[in-house]
Amino acid sequence: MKATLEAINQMQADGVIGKYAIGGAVGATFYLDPAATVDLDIFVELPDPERGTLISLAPVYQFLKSRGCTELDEYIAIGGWPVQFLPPANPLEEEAIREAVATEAEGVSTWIMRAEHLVAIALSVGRPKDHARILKFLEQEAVDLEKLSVVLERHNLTSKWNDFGRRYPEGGR
Amino acid sequence: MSKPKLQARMAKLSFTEKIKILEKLRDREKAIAAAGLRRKPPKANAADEE
Repeated sequence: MKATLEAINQMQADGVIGKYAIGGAVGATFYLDPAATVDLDIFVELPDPERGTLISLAPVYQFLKSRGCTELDEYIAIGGWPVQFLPPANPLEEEAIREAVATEAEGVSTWIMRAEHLVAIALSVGRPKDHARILKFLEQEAVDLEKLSVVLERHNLTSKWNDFGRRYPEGGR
Repeated sequence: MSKPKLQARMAKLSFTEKIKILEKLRDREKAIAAAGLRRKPPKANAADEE
């Protein structure tokens, strides 16, 4: 992971990407006990996309491939980790990148999404594995429910949250 | 040790320590997948074949 994060930080220093935040299962591991995952989700702002044009990850892939990284479907392997770069798809993901928490992993600086954003994004995506992750956050009391409620309200996810609560009444809330 | 207690203890590890565990779990997943030990979903038309 050290080499992976160093490569991503170098891309940021070189202006290939803007701010980024680790999300998904690896991001959740910052708050929870580790759970098996085979990839790393990096939510990433791309610098100055031209208005009205499609967002392209081509510069990211060009940068990494020129340094020996290999492309694997929607991933690119960096330092032994298949990494998926995800430009923010909505205001929730933009906020999650903007408000990410600075930390260190293996001596390398990085940014992790806040717990309430990880839960809100998992709720909005809504696959079984996302629901399982939300339940872990609740069971391990790893998310501040008041802060979560504010995020859910701001991004119109309260109704979906209530549905989730009815589906999983044992969710510890 | 109970599972909730073990989870709580693991959750308190540093991010660096957790990353090391993640890497071991990832390698195990890869080994299982490479060995074809993953349970395959039943065929959709299994009932038809009987």
